[in-house]
Amino acid sequence: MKAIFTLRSIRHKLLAGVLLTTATALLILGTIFIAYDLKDYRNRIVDELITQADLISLGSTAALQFEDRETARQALSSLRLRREISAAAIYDKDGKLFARYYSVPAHIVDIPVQGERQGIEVGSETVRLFRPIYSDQEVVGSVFLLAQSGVSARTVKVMLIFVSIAVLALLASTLLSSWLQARITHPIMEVTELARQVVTERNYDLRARRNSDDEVGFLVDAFNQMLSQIGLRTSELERSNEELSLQIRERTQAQNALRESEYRHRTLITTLSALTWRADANGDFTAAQTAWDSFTGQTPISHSGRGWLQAVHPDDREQINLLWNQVCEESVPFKQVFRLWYAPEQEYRYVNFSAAPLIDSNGRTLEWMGIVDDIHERTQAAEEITRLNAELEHRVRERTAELENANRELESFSYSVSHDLRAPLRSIDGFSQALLEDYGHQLDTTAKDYLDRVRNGAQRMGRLIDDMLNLSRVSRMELVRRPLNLSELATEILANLQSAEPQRQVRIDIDQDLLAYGDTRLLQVALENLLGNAWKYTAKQETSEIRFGQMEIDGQPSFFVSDNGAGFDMKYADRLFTPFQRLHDSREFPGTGVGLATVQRVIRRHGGHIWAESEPGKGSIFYFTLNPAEELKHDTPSDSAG
Amino acid sequence: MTRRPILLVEDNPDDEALALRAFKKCNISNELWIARDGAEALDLLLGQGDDPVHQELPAVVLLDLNLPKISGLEVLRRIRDNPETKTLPVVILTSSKHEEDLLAGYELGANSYVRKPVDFNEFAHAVSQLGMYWLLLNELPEPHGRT
Amino acid sequence: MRAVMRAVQILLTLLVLQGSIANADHDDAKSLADQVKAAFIFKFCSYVEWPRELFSSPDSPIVIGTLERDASMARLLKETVRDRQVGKRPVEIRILPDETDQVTGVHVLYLGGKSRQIHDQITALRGKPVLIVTDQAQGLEIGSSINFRREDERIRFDISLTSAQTNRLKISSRLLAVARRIEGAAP
Repeated sequence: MKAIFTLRSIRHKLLAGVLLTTATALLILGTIFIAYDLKDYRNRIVDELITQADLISLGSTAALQFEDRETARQALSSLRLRREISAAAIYDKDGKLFARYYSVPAHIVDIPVQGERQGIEVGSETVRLFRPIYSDQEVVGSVFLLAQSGVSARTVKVMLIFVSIAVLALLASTLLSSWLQARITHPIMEVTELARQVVTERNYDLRARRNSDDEVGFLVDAFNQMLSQIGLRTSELERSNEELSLQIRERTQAQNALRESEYRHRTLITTLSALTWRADANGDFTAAQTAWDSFTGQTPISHSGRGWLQAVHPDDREQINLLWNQVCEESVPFKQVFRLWYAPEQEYRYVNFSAAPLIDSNGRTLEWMGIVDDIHERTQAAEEITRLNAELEHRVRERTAELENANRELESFSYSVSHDLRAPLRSIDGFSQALLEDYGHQLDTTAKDYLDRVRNGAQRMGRLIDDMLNLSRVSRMELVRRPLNLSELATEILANLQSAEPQRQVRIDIDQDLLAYGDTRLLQVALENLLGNAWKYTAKQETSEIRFGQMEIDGQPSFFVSDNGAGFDMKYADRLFTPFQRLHDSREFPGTGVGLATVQRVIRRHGGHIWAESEPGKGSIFYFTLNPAEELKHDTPSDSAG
Repeated sequence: MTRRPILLVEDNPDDEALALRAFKKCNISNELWIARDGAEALDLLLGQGDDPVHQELPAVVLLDLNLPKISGLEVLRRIRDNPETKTLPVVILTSSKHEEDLLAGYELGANSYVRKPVDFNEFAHAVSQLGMYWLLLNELPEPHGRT
Repeated sequence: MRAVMRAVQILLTLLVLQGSIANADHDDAKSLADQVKAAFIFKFCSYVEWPRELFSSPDSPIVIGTLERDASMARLLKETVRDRQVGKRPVEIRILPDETDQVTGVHVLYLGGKSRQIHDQITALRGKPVLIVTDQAQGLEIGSSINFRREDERIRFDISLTSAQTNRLKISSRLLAVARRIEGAAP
């Protein structure tokens, strides 16, 4: 009952509110409307009157100018049609009455005898107007109008209209708001009733009916949602209660299992003969350590506290002691290899000692447990491997050093050869020359011949030394490959040879732009030897021919140097590239027999090969190939060491 | 030709004799200073302390590399380090055909590098070339100093 | 007798006096009437429209002509127009010889003489844009546009629209409103 009463009260308040709002709006609107209307009305009247006065002025200008009162009166009498104008008059320029008009004789008294200044007076009942009459900017007179203003009548009329509109509007808004409120309050009452039902019956499956999409509709939805939430929570609570009791049951079971497991472990540890040990929180042995004692031969008395460390090898003991103290302080798992006394064999054996702290929920260490693993054989084997490896490494280093040393010695040997071995030769040659020059006249032909032979020998030995050094350098020198033009190189070498022996007639034929990718210095040496040979062995020909070119042999581009010189017998071809092997008499063609060996090394170092074709007296042709650039990448000097 | 002396740094008496012979053959009659090792050469050029043995510098130094006491390359380095002898022409005259020596020589600022050939005629030829170049051409900045 | 004589004498005196007064009144009235006529002639200018080509500019003067014999009117006109304008135009008074028949440069011509005297002059001005103002009974009949007349001791005027149209003049309807009589219909 109380709820309904409250709702009614709300309904009344809502109604009063709507009416008050409407009335306020109407009052403001009405005031503005009336004020505006009256002002507008007044302006309209004034405008009309001024227009009327101007019309009269226009019609009476000539009358005033030509003093024609009759015409002026006629002009005024047209006002008879305008009922609201009760009196009118025209005054001449001196303000004297010129003509007048009145709707009823009673208004005669309203017409002033004298003209007045321009002006308009609007009263609630009448309007009074004076306006000058102009002709050519000259005031020729004035006009007077008196009219019914109708302002009060208008005011009353407008008020009446407004009041009736207001009454209608209030009535309509009352009806409308009543209808709307009924629509709002009804669903609320329904929800209220439902709420009461839910409270009394505790039935959360009840749902309110939704009638609209507005806030009330939303309220109903929210209410329904709330109901379902409450329902959900209630069932959840029940379910969680069930779960809780289940968990309690499970926990009891787990506790039982734990107790059993603990018992099993305890049994296991005490009965195991394997190396398991236990220590207290400080890392001291306390309880019986059957396995430990049987391994180390210690007794419960000797191993108690830190006594167990006495079984550790004296060399490891200090370190283990330190580590163990640290580990016990930090309570972290620990693993270490050391030597432990093995009583049955009376020796120290390598063991893997691992320890783990048992920590309670507060982070406090309860005790330590661990295993000792005998890894003696394994460790021994590993140590052996390490030792062998170290030895091997040492030997490799030794050999490398030896090699490096040998190489250095070889270097210094070749340096000495080039420097020191040549100095005596220079003396032999130089002083033989001095003898020939300074004492030649005292020597007979044979003596001079001997001295020449001495000089020749010295010089040949000098060349031999140079060639040998060349050969060794060609083998040891690092390859620096770059693109180069062999044709230009050959042209230059032959030009040098020609300038050394300008009297020689040699036809030279070099293919244009023979390009290669190799070490300039080495290939220069190779070409110098090949072209030098060609130059040398064609010396006996009347016209020498030397050709340098390129042709395809077995699908591979091959360079060649050919001549029309002495040539050689192909059955000695295998000795051609062996050092110090000569196929010609050195008196006929001087040489050391090292040149072609050098050429072969250069070509091999470039990944190519060299061969020759010849026939005695018909000239010879030397072919060589060079590996294309990309195949030279992994070339090493060692492949030409022979 | 300049009358200034030529300094020959050479430890081998044979080579020294042959060099003298070669100069003579080439009609190079400048006074010849001989230093038999690197230390002697440096004493001659830079003196010991502030007192050089000779007041004037030679026209050219012919420097062997393989020298007792102080090596030829070290001699060259010290010549080039000293502001007074920095521009002194130095020709390396050696039996060595090692490229390392050649490169080191040039890097230290040698003006020329001549290899002593076994054949005396070639040697004499090389010396005469040297003499022509370093005693004649090198004097070009001082034309009035010539006789 | 003496009394009669006296009475006659007074009567005569009164008559003489009255007569002289009347005479004087007559002269004053005539002069007043001419003043009104002069003022009217000036005001006519505001209500008449001449062909536009007659004036070179908006402030070219309006010329009112009189004959020598109407010198008194010329004098009154001059007094009337002094310092006054019609719109922007000043007004000038020009006195023409009596017998002239070549009237040019005049917008308004006042002819005060009798119809016989002015007939030829009016005829000569036929078709020319000159507002002819006359002051005699047959004025309109002989071709004048505006003719003064006296009515109840007041000066009034008649208008001949026919003559005005002949002389290419437009007369404002407001002027027509105060005319006594209008001859000829509006076009």
